[in-house]
This record gives sequence, C-alpha cells and structure tokens, in this order.
Amino acid sequence: MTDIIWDWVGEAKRALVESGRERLAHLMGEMPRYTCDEKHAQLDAIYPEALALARASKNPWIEVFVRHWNLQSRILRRHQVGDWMGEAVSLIEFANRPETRDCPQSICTTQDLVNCYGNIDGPGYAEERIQATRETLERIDASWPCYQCIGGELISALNDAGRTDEALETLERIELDIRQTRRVRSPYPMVESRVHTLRLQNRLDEALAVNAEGRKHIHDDGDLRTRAQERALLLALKGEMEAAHDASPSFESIRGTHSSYVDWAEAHRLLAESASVDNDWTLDAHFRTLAEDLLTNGVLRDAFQILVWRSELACLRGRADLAKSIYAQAEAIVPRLRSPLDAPALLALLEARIAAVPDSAVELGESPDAVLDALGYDPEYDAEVLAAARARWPDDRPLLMASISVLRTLERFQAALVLFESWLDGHPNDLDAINLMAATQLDLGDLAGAGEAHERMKRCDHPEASIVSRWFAYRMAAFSGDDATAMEHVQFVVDQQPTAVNAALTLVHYLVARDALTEALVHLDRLSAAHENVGAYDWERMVVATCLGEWASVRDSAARLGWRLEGDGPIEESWELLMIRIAGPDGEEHDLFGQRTGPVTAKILSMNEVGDRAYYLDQVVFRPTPLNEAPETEDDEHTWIYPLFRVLESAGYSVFPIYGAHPGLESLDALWQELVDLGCDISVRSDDSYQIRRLDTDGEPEIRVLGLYSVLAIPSNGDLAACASTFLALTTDYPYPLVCPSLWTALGEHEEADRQRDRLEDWGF
Amino acid sequence: MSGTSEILTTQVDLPGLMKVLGNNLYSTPSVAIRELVQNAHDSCVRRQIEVADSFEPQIVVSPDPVRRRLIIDDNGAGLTRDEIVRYLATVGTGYTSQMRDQGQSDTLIGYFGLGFLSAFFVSTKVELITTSYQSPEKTWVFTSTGGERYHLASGEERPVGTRVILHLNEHFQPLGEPAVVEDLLRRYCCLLPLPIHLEDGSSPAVNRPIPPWRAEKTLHPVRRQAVERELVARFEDRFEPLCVFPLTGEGETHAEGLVWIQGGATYGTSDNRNVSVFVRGMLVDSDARELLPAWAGFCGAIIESDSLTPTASREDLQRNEAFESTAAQLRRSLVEGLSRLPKTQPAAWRRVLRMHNEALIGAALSDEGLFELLADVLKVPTSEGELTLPVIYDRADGRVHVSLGDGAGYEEVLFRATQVPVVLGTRYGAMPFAERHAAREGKTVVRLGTKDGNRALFAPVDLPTEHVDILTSLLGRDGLELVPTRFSPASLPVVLAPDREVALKRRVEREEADRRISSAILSMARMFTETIDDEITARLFVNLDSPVIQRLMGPPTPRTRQAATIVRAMADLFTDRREEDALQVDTGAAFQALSEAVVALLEA
Repeated sequence: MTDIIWDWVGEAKRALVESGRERLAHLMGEMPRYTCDEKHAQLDAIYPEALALARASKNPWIEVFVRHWNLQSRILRRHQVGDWMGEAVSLIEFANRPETRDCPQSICTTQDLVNCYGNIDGPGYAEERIQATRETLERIDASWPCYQCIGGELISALNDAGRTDEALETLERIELDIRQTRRVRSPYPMVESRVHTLRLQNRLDEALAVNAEGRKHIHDDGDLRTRAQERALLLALKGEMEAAHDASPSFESIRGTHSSYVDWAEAHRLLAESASVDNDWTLDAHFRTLAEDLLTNGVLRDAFQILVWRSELACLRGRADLAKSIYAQAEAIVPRLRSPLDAPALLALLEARIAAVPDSAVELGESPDAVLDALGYDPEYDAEVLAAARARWPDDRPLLMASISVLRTLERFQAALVLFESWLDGHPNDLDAINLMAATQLDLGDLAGAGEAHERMKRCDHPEASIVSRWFAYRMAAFSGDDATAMEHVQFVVDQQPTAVNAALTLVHYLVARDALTEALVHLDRLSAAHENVGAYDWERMVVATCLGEWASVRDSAARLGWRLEGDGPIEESWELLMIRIAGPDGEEHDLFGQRTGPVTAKILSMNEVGDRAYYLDQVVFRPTPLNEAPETEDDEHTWIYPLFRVLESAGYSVFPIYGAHPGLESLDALWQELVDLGCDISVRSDDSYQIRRLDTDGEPEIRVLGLYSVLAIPSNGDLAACASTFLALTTDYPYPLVCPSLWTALGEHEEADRQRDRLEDWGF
Repeated sequence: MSGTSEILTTQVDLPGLMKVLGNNLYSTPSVAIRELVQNAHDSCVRRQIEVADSFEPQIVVSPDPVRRRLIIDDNGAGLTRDEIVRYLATVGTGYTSQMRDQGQSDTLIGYFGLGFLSAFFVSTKVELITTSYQSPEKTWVFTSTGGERYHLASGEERPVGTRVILHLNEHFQPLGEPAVVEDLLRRYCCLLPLPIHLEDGSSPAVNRPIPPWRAEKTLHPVRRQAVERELVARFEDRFEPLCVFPLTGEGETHAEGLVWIQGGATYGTSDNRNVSVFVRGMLVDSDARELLPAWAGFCGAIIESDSLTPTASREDLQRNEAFESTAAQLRRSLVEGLSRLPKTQPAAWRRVLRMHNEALIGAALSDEGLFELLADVLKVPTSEGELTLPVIYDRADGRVHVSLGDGAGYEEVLFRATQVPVVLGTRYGAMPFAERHAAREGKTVVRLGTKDGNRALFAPVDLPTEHVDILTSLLGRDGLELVPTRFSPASLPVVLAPDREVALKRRVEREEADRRISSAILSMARMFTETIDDEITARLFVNLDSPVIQRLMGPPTPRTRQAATIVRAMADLFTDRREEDALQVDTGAAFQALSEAVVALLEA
C-alpha cells in the first residue's frame, strides 16, 4: 500500500537533491522529526530557513509542507493559537489555490485550523469543528495519513460536544477503514482518541488496555510522553495513586508542550486530593505556571479548567483567600469563551466550596519575635501566620518586612504592593519601606508604579529622603537605559556624600564611559584617601591614573595593595607573561600574549590581527580582573587573561600573513634576515607537522610539501614598498609558492595581490 | 566418559541460530574478537577467584595474516572436558553467567553464553586447546568446522590456560591483520581490567593506559588530559577533540566516562554525535547517539555504566529508565563542562565557538543554561557580516532588526544606506536566538515587514494639519494611511507597506474563495478574518527628513504634482511584490505614471 503523502514527500526530496537543493531536502526531513520528538526549539531554528528555501524553490507544494509542519508544532503541540491563528487561516487559503490544492499535504492544513479553535475553546467551537472535519473526511479516504489526523480532530470535537457514544462509534469506523486500507501494526491506530473517549465514558480498564497496547508502538518522543501522561491520569482516576505517581511525567518534562497540560494538571489534582503528592505552594506554583502559559497562548477553556482545579486545591489546603483570588482569575476568562457552557456552573460550585473553607486557626506566638522565629517551613502557611500576626501587631515593622519577603517568594507581587500601601497609610515617612516598595515595582518592570513610589519618596518627611530618592531616580534611569540622566542623579548623591563607595564608583563608571578620566580620578583619589582599607577603588584608580600618566596615584594605590615600585614616573617593569582579551568589531574576542609591565599595563607580543588592526608591541592598560580561573594545581606556566581597557600607546605596526610552501631553512633564513634588516619583525606560527598539498590538476601529480604560516610585522615608519620588493625578489625562484598578498593590498597593488592568491589556488587555499 | 577422541553434537539448532547470529545479533564480525577476548578475560578472573595461588594473568592476541589465522591465548582457568561439553557447546548458558547469578564476581563480563558462537561466524574452522587448573595434566583439543558438530580429543600436555585458533574464512581475512586487530582491541577492550597484549607479552598492553575514571589515584591534570585525549582518539576517527570533559554527577546510574567537543566544523543541523557505551568493561554500543541531546551534533562520548542494559546482541542498549537517567547525566556533564570552559581553557573555548557557532545556537535555544553561557558570544548572520548581539545593539541604537524576507521589500534600501546590521532571520536559528536575547536584555526586536516592525521603525510625528492635507492630496489614495515620520536615509522619501492582515482578509472573504475552499473550513477561516479591520489596506510612511518631502510640503510649483507622481510610483515599485494584490498596485500603471511624470518634467 502506498502512502499518498509520504510517497510524495520522498519524491519531492529526491527531486530537490537532484536539482542541487540538498539543504531544503534535509530540512524537509528534519521538520516532522523535530515536531514529533517535541524538539520545538530546534524546529524554530530551522523553520525560517526552510520557508525561505521553499519559497525560493518556487515549488508551492513544498511551501505547504513546510508551513504545515511548523503549525503542527506551534498549534498542535504548543497551542500557540494567539500568535499563529492568522498563519493557520493564511495557510488554508494558500493550500486551496489552484497551484497547491492537489498537493497531498494541503488537506492536512484543515487540521491546523480546526485544532486552533479546539485549543481556544474546544467545547465552545465543537459544532464548527465537527462540520469542518466531516466535510474534509468526505474528500479523502483512509489511504491518506491525514484521514487519521483529521479523524482524531473529529473525535475530539464530538467528545467536547459531550457526544461520546457517537465519538466511539465514529472512531470504530475510522479505525476499521484505516486497518482495511493501510498496513498498521497496532490494533488501535488512534490510541489517543480511543483512550480519551473511553476515559470520558469512565471505561478506565479498557482505556488502560488500549494505552498499554499503544506503548508497544511508540514512534517518537511525543508518543512516549503522551502515553505516559495518559496512563498516569487513568491510574489516578482508578485510584491507583502510587502507580499514577510513578507513571507521571515530571513537570519540567511537560513544560512547553501545552498539549500535555490539562491531563498533567488533572492527574496531579487527583494525586494531591488523595495526598499522594503534597498539596502545597510548589504544586500551586506549577498550576499557576500552566494556566499562565495557556492564557499567554490564548488557550482559554483549558486555562479556565486548570484555574478551577487550582482554586479547589487551595480550598483543600484551607487557603480561602488564595482560592478567591484564583476564582476571580477564572471568572475573568468566562466572557472570553465562545460559549460559557458549564463554566458558570463550575464557578458556582467553586464559590460554594470557597465559602465552606473553615477559618484557618493560626497559632500565633506570644510576640512578633516569636512569630518570626517560627517561620520558614511553608511560605503559604507563613503568609497566613504573618497576616494574622500583622492584624495583632499592625505597627510591627519586622513583621511587615517578613510578610513582604514571603509574598515575593510566592510571587504574589501585587499582594506585596497592597501591603506596602496599607503600611504607608499609617507610616507615610517610612523611607525604607517606600524604597523597598519602589524596588519591588522596578523588579516587576513596572516603571509607572516605581515612578509613583519615587514621588512618594520625595515627599517623605525624612532627613535622607532627598538622597535616597535621588539614588532611586538613578536606578530608574539606569533601568531605562538613560545613562545621561542616571549619571546626573548619581552626581547629586556623590556631591552630598563624596566618600560613599558605591555611589562614587558608579559615578566613576559613568565618567570613564564618557572618557572623563581626570574627573574620575578626583573621585578615586578621594576614596582612597578616605578609606583606610584597600578596595575596588584602588584597582580602578590605578587603571584611570595609568591612562592619565598620574604615576603618583598609581604608585600610591599599588603600595596600598602591597606592590613595591621603585622610583617615580612611568612604570616599566618586566613582569610575567599574560594575555589580553580584545573584542573585535564583530564581537568575537581574541586573546593576545603580552608582557606585564606594571600593575595594570602590558606590552602586546602577539602579532595577531583583531579585525583589521594589529596590536603588536602596543602598550595597553587592562582591567586587573582575571577572566580565567586558577589552574587545578600549582602551575608556573599558567597565564592569566585580563580584559583590555585601552591602548596607551600604539606601536603602529601593520601585520601581513605570509603563507605557502616552506622554501627550506637556508632560503627562509635569508628572507627573514633581509626583512629584519628593513625593520620588520617575524613570527612563525606553523611547525613541522604543517603539510600542504597541491591538488592533482591538469595532469600535474599531487605533491605534498612542508607548509609555512608566519606573520610579518612592519613598523609604522617601515618602507612597505621596499619590504614588498625584497619579498618578491627573494621568493620568486622558490620551487613552490610562498606569498604575502595583503602586503600588496596595503600598497594598493591589487593585481599583484590577486596574482599571489592565484598562485596558491591549486594548493587548496 | 574419558575417551581420547570423539565426535559430539551441540544441543541447539545451530544452523538456525547461526542465521540469527549472522543476520541480527552480530552485525559486525569484529564482535567475534570482543567475545573471544572476553572469554579469555573471564577465564583469568575465574582462576584468580577460584585458585588461591597467585598467578600473573596473561592474555595475548596473535593475528597471523600469512596463515589467515587469529589466535587468542590466555593462562586462565581453562576448561575440563565436562565444562566444554556443558558450557561451551551449549548455547544459552555459559559459566560466567552462572557465577554472576551466584553473585561471585562483578568483574566477569560474559553472560549470554552465545559469545563463542561468534567465532564460527568468521571462521571456517575453530580450534580450542585448553588445560584446566582442575586437571592440569589433561589437555583437551576441541575442533569444529561449522559449530554444529565438534571433535574432542586429548592433546599434548601444556600449561594451564586456553588457546583459541580461528581459521578465518575468506570474508574475514582482515581479522588476521595486526593493524586491524590492534585497532579493534584498543576500542573494544580498552576498559578491561587485565592487560591484553598483541602478538607477544613483551609489548605494552593494547588496553592501556587505564581510563582516568578507573585509575586508582587521581592523575595530575596534565597527565589526565593526555590520557583522556588518547582514549578519545581511539573512538573519534574523524575529528580531533577540541576539549574533553569528564562525566560529572553521581546520577542514579553511576555512569562514568568522557564527553568531548569535536574539532570538525558543523552547521546548525549537523549530527556527528558519536557515543560508545561500555557495560562491565566491554563495548556494547558504538552508536548510542541518543544518549546525547539532539542539539549536541558536535559532540562525542565514551560512557561506562553497569546500569545500562545491553540488548541480546550486545550491540545496542535497551531504552529504559537507566538509559534516560544516563542521558540526563551526560547532558548535565556537557553543559557543565562547556560552562567551565571559558575560564579554564579559553583557547579551546574560542575554537569551540568558531567551529560550532550555528550548532551552539541550536544548543542554546534548547537549553536555558547554555543560553546564559552563550548569549553574548555567539554570532548571528547579519547584512553586515556575522556579529554578536551586543555589537548589533551597539550599532543599531539598542535594537535588533530582523529580516525574514528575500529582500523584495524596502528593507535592503533602508538599511544598506545606514550600515545598520539587519539579522538575516532566514538563516539557521538566527531569529529565535536574537529574539530570546533581546527579551533577556529588555531590547526591542524590529521584525521588518510586519505591522509591529513598521510601528517601531516609523514612529509617527505630529505635523500641522495643512501639511498633512498637502501630503494627502499629493500622495494619498483610498485605503492608504499616510504616516508622517522620520527615518534614515533622508534620501528615501517614502516607504509603502501593505497591511498583510487586510490582504489575508480580502483573499479569504472574496467570493472566489467559496469555489475553491470547502464551506465549513472556509467559515472557520472567516470567523477569524471578520475580526480584522480593513479600512486601511496600506500605510505610506512619509520621511519628513527627506528634502523631497520638504519641498513637496512647501509652496506648490507647477512641477510639484509631477514630482509627487514620481515619488508615489517609486513607493509602488519598491514595495514587496508578493503583496501587490493587497495594495492594489498595478506595476504597469506605476511605470506609466513614472514615465509620464518624467516626460512632463523634461518638457516643463
């Protein structure tokens, strides 16, 4: 039996390979694999490329394939309907054009759109889904793989409509068609549909048997997880909690695959109700995440259901307030559903359940201190204890701070802010509390809220209000990326408190970024003078002072740090070998060897180019924070790496790679000597293991010879033309080419540069 | 029974079993060497356990290319006649499996009892000469040419131990070549505790040095690195490793071993994963790539774990919990190793980044921890070359522009002139990587050619009503929203952008769609498009920095209208051709208008 879709895919891939479009053929193979294995990040990485290549191939059938498999991941697995509904509609339209409608994959696009609506509100859109899938099934027969997929959508819609008997009957017929038409190994080609339907009919043992059969026919990682999840839920429904617990996939493993969310949540609701898993704030956080993820994606009905369960679990824990706030979130979803159906009834039941939650009897210690000492086991319980304690000791500040901290742990930021507000009503001049509230808002990214808190800070009747509010103003500006304003505020703070280390170093950071080094040094000198202990300011002071040639400041901080530097004036020591990390114009970092010449200075010894610039023999200043770790054992050869701060003095060398065949030691010595006499420096990078090969072309036999890779450094006052002519004169008679094309490029002699490159073309360069 | 020469029959359906062995169990004949060396090894261990006197175990493998033979000698426990009959010739048992069942030794390897049969798969004749420590005066010679029946006879007295001689059949002559055998032994037997020698006992053992995780004392880091690299070299034919990490973490499966980054350049979807797995010291799976994450197409690993279960063929692993747990441990070790690399081996780190940039983009997208590590150092392809995201923000005013088009729109013109890098979103992983990075940094992603992208690129500027009226009269048309804005380069006066949602709405809601799309699904599609407002079909972004626009807004001259016609035609002709119908742009008409306007200007 042939397979209409996959036969075509195979043909299409073969044709692509034959026409030189291997990459697109490869990606066509990867897309279904990534989707079915739930490797969604990998799918996202290749999709834009696959789509662009499909469009470039001018084969609209392949575009249908690529877009469909993207939607299979986006919609069927990840339920991202909010972002991808438009694409599903667009693909339906595209796949039904004259040039695409005969593509075997076109029919499958129905599933993408129908599934979209099923995700938003399955029961709400059940009738439309039933109609659309039935209509599509009439156009195809069971020889199409999508007969099964679209059949699955139909079963799901019938189940959502509450017509489970009809669903089962339809399923029997579709499965029979499939078995009669195609070779399938499993007696249940549609395991998921069958298990779901049987579950809804409470025929749990039968569903488990089908699931067990399905587990014998796992095709991909998605199957594996779905079967495990199904089994866990069925076992939980049967009351076999331990087995259900063991069978259930972890929260981490389902996160991101939204099609697993509802079943996972239902299984865990049952497990928690039977105390087989802890019904605690961690589980609550998982449920919250599931609902938030779904709402973000526009998946309404499932999110509603999970919130109802979450609220019920909160009731079970006796957390009426939490249950109420979750109830409100669920209630807010109802108007967005296509049709409310049973949602109001569920809410009514939930409301009654919340009302029946007994008042929690919290045992309080004798004093606020005793309360605080007893905290630390369960943040949710702690929050309740603290709420009761605050009712009893409303003016106790440590209780307030502990409450805020617990609420932040529970990620109930709004509740924390409400608490702040109520506290500040009674304590309008509690500057620390305002500051903490503002920081909470900033952490939330709520700039408007932070701004209001800042205004309140400014109005606060507190001796430090002005300076604290300025510091917060700096933080807000920095958060927004407004460096100029941020610096103004920091400047104000430093003017008021010149030796406050954090503020002064922040100001120095801004000044250095603006290249205002002289001003920065004033602050650093002041910090060093004011503080007996050495600190980060001493290191920064050496960096800045070195750039300015203020050697007395350098020596002073160096002495404070334990260096004994003789004399005065520039420091030119010959200390250890180190490496300086320099970022190129493309962001790539390069590590260049250098010799340390002072606490924060080095002379670069590597001839490497970074971008189009060489640093050979440049004097540089580095930040003295090593970028690599100490070796595991004592190792004299360890080389520390430091980041470049700036070039103090450029030696002005230009560097040119010389490469090709090694001419023999004697010839090479002669060449080097001539070049050195012209003021050049040379660094040989290759060794005896470097071989180069002339390819077997034009009847010439293949040749292997010792290769050479070296770098020629010419000082700024060097004579490039003389170097070039010397190089050419000496290398022309070499038996095999040794070239330095960039030297001629620098001279503007592009023809000669090209000629040299051409000479090595046969050598695979 | 103590006859000196007899013919016996094995107690199994050997022809049938051989077929199974040949077709399924032993897909590579080299497994025969593994099995026979394993038998020799087990025999030595057995002697160590069962015999009180100390002896120096010795296993020597001697290929003989001239006579097409392979000989395996050991001085282990040897076999008595009964043992030969009971264990060797009876498939499915095997002495070592009995010992394991009795819990006597974990160092014994074999337990399927099928191992010896593999010898028949590669040989025309198998000889086994053995002297048991239990009856050192008695030597037995087993000979069989096919395995089904065998000849057993007394032999000349020789020291305790066993010699197996394989007379290789014509298909497997390479197993008599010293180089081939050495390579196989170095891989298959590298974890066996007892030394294995090639040719004679004087040369160094082929299964040395001992892997670092089996070494009794901690090796000096330099020595450890050398040993690790030597070990990796046995398993990685195609690539030099750039760096090697030990497996970390206890894990439920207690797996040990090494994972490395390969030194061959990759692209995003390359899959060169190379994983060899040892169970009880023997290589049982040399292609267990599934143990490495799918994103690790640039990595290799050697793993030893006695928790993993080989399949009956011992050339594959069962996919069970231990497998999953080992895979998780391997992933953690790889991520941890990579995380330490920048600070411990910066040079290797640079090479890893340079060789595997795209593959690492895929890896970072799949693993949060790796994303944090790699976010600022990986490069994405842009219109200005490959750049890191921090450099892109730096050069694009804190934003990242992403193009998903084929350059058919205005994007190229707009950005080429300003040299602002535009991320080429159609290249592997570039767009999701840039998007995730921007989200992390609180930066804006501008997707060129989308409604949101246009909103970010062309912020509306307030303009006096009279100027708006002038521009509308000169450049406007039905369904076109005119947006006064400012952008670079100033030489580009206008940009015309279609509203793609409206275009979709039109296509779906046209009567013609009823003829080609089934009614129920079309109704569903229309439920969506009904929510789209179609008052505006396109936006014309008018650049107030453009000297042309400034002149158009000035006092009208006789040539203003012709100039405006040229500008509008330019906008039409520059726009994305795929959206022509949505824009109702008639390319022919646009050229016509352009031509007429230019002629009019020339004649004025």
